Amino acid sequence: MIVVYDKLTGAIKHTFDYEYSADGLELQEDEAALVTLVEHENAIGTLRVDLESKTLIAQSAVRFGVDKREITAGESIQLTLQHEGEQFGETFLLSVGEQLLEVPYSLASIQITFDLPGEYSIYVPDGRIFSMLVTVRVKEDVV
Amino acid sequence: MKAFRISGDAAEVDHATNVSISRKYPIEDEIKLLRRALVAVAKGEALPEEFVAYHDFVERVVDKRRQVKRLAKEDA
Repeated sequence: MIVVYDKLTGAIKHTFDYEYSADGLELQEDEAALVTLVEHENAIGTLRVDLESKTLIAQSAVRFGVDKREITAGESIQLTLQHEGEQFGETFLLSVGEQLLEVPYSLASIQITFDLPGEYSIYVPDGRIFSMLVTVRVKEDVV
Repeated sequence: MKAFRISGDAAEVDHATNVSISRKYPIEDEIKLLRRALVAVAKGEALPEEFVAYHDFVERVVDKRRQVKRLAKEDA
């Protein structure tokens, strides 16, 4: 399997299953590739590349807990955060709907207020960090 | 506890306003209600109750979303 990754972060961008030669592989400027004889299949989604050893290692992880999955516009949820593994700086990015929040690793929980109705997916958009997607449904506040 | 607000920009707020109104009052219903209101006004009659309810709903939604825009501006 050929693993193409971001050479600055080690986040895996895509793979070529059952291929074992990266010769002639066209890479973008920010990409590098490694070859492994192990076919990780779907499990590749939980791995990243250690930039020093150029080997696959487990992703770091953020585990979310939410106090409510359905609220009314204008209300808040409390999101608890548990971290595992390497931390990449002081903060990590959290995707909430279309917005990106910069959240300090030091916080065990944050409050998020939703002003508009809709369905909001919450996840960490960083290929080095594993997170389960959480969805919050925000109902209309005017009925 | 650190607090974050998810609002969207002005265009997203406007879009949400349109969605909120059209979900309750599809455009065909809006046209019908407006036509009935016009007829009532032309005849010098009171506005139909359905129109008053529709108008009240729209005003409340628009007012809420104005507040959202104001809060987003204050947070920025």
